[in-house]
Amino acid sequence: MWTLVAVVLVVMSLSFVTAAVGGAVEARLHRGRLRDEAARLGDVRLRSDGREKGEMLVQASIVVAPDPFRRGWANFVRLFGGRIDVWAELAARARQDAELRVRAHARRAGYREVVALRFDQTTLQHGRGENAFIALSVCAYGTARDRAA
Amino acid sequence: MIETYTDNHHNGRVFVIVVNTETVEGMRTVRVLGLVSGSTVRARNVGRDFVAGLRNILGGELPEYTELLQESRNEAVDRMLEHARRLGANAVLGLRFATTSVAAGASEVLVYGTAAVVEPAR
Repeated sequence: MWTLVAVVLVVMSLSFVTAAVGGAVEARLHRGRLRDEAARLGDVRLRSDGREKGEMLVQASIVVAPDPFRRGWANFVRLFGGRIDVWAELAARARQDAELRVRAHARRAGYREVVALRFDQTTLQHGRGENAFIALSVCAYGTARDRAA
Repeated sequence: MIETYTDNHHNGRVFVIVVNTETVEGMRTVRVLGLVSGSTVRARNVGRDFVAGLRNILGGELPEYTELLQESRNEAVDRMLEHARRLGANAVLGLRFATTSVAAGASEVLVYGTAAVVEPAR
């Protein structure tokens, strides 16, 4: 009996540690990719004022989810209220990724500037009850202008 | 991707300029035809759910859902463009996207804008 409990506890602990470490590694790799992409697409400017005249719509989207460790931590923090950095960081990364994809789309089409940038966000529920998790969908879009020569 | 809509010109369909600004560069708005919209509700399938569930162990991007929502947005834009063509528009100005979860596992994508007739500014 106790052996079984010990095995279950060990398996659960290993899963927890794997999710935590794997999630942290994934987030680190994602941040690295975003830095590289931002450097590569630095010449495509983004503006949100929308006062300039435009030419073509460009858009990109991404769906992201936190790993179980971060999700558990966010649920724990929620008990006390206040700032939930796990979600804030994930949402910021997702927006940055969507933004970079918009820039890449604009560059592929031969443009050097995106004006009137807008975000459309929503949450998606995956599964039900205890096993449900929430994913965040971010769509960035704007009007590309200033076609490169 | 929205840029593929430029191909419509070659397929004998009316080319509609789509922007999310109030004007089009180098063009003037001759006539405003009113609001046009397109929407779609899509649900995930079991296969995508399963793969996304596996990916969720480590968190991060879920490309299956990214692709699904991108397809939904393209479909909604297509419907909006059909609406604009029926009105005789050659441009849609001030486009906006709105997305919401209508049920567990299903999302609605709504896209709307102002249909207009534009012509090159002299």
